[in-house]
Amino acid sequence: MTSLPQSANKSKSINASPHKAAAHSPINWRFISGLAITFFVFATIFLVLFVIVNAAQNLPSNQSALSANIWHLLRMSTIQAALSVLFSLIVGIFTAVALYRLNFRGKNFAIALMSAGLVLPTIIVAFGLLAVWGRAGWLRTASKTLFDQDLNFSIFGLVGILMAHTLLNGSFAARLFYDRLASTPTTKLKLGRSLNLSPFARFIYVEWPTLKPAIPGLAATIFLMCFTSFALVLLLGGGPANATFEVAIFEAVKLDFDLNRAALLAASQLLFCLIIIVPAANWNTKSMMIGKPGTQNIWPAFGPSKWALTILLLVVAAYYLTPLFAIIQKAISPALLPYMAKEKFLNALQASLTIASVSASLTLVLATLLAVARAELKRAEKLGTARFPRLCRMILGAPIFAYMAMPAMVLGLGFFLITRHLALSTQSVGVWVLILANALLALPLASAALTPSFEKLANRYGKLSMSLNMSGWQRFRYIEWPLSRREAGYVFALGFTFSLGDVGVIALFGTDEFSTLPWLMYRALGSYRSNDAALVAAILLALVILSFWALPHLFRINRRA
Amino acid sequence: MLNINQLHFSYDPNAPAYDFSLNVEAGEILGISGKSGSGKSTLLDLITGFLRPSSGSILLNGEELNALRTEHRPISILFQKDNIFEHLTAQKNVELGLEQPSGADALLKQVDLEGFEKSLCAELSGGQQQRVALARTLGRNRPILLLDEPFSALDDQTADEMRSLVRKLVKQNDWHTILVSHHQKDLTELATRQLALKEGKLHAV
Repeated sequence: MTSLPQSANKSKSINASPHKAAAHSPINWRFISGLAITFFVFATIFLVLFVIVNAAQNLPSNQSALSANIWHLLRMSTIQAALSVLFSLIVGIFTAVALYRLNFRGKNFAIALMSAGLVLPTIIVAFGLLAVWGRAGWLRTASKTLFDQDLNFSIFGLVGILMAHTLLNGSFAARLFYDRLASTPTTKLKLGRSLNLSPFARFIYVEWPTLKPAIPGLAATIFLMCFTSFALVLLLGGGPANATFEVAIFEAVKLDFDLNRAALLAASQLLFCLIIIVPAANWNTKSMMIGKPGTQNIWPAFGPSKWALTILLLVVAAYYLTPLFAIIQKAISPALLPYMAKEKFLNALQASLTIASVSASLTLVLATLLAVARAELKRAEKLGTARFPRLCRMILGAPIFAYMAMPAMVLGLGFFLITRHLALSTQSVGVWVLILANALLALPLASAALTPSFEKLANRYGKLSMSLNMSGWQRFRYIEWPLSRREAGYVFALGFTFSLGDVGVIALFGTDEFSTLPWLMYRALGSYRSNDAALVAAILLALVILSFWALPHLFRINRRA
Repeated sequence: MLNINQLHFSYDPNAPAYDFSLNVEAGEILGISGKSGSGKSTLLDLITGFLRPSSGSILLNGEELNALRTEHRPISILFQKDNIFEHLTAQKNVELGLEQPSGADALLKQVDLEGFEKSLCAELSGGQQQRVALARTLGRNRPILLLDEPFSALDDQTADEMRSLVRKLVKQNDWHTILVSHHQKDLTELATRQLALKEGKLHAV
């Protein structure tokens, strides 16, 4: 696929110390490791696919009802996901523009909060929204107390799903859009400001061209996340009318134990997801603005536009923060400490932390190996020795997109069927499936965070490292790892928090004996123990925030080479 | 006349301070040389208002400019590159600088870009892109023109053509022009007078 630089082989006789010989090996282990990951991911996916398709062939008797059900699921999931994309993009764009144009104290905290939206467990968001907008929520209580009016509003159904999806994906979109705006070249800002562009003209001519290229890819990602949404739809969907494929699969397995139906639903979902993913993988996200990004905001908003953006930001902040405050308010009670001492809580906590640690480590290893292979490809391109670089890039990029086609529930179902077929214990297999599924779940974002850093270093130090005859390991040890530790810390934190909040695979494998914190919370909600659910939610929230903040610091401890 | 009197600025209390004083007549091109990091761009950012001086004044024909926001200062700037929005046409780029969005075609004709009105700027050469920016500068006709190494990214022949064009336009329009560059050729061929920037202060050459 790719080869080592030709000149490296020529210099072998000049500089042939034993440990350096690795640099001239005809086998490029760095690239092969990336290919091995690709193979591993696809082997897993094909195995799951094979099992599901095989099971789906044993069709149930009432095929017409099932077919109608699939069309209903497809129609509703598409409508729900499309509306979620629309609202998330609108909220994301305006929040990012407001954040970018305004200078205020705590701006960095607000930006960090947007990042936290990415790792907030969906079950917490759903619970938080219920605590604010639900039947006994803050708003209804306030309306009754202050105006003696009962709000005629139900959060259950499409509205609730859209509210939750907009909260989660709107913040994700805002963070991504903010980064793009922050990369606007300084000279373009100076130019726009010196031309006295109005706030609207600024958006049209300076900001929109920066944001626009990111929209198709982001829209496809949000669409897929909403199309395959599980916990939010399960809690806020209000019944089968708004169910997604994921929920339908879960119900088929857990409620009806109809594995054939579940397999057929999973195969259908897989097909629809692939239709979205294949074109999305090739969408260009390059900014239309050329130039060097600035480090400070030299064009802050002023006048009426400043006030309008401030109000907008306050409304968004209130919408984002009230659910979290509501959870904390519900959890602060004398029952908190005794609950934390209960055995089932401690078991779930231990399982969650163990699975999250192993899963985050696996995410980091997979993302690093893929990044190393991509860096190797970049280096070969720089030195003019790469063969079929586009094809290689596509192959190495495939695992990142592949998992989006096969969400947690489908993967879980595949392994669930294998477990049953081999008569294995669901609990012992469940742990490994959870670890694998969670690692793969975090891989797209992990790879997006790590690969650019490795590629940049290959671009910068490719020729130098070759002239110094450094082996692949030496490059990793002395260049790539020390200079990418910050990103690695972020990747680990991402993998950890994603795993900590996951409620997908555990929904199939969870039992009374084997539970994680989100599953414990779901079961508490299912049996109307909302106080217990609030306690778990608050602890989970604290754990997610703490680990997302603290874990990257572990990787930043400076060690001299 | 453009008068800059003891314009004082420092990025932070521990960093070295800048202190600028200079005068520029109408129709004059004042060349300022200096090493990288000597403060050439800082001077231009202070005049345009992207940076705020801690003291000192900027006067144009006796009128104080310090209190005006960047948008309202009577200034046009020409950077080394990135003077235009590449995703827009040449015509739209010129129109963005005008109060009345007409006459862009005539301005483009003045800088020898007739026939390129509908061309996307990304498709134009570096020299043509600079001409588009000059056409906009011409249309805006602000009395102060700041040139921040505007020919550095151009090849020799294009840079020569641009220098002639700028010289002609400055004279025609009586612009008060400040050119900062570390290219001696730009300074000797274009500037009517030169100052050197050393240790945060301007010195006669």
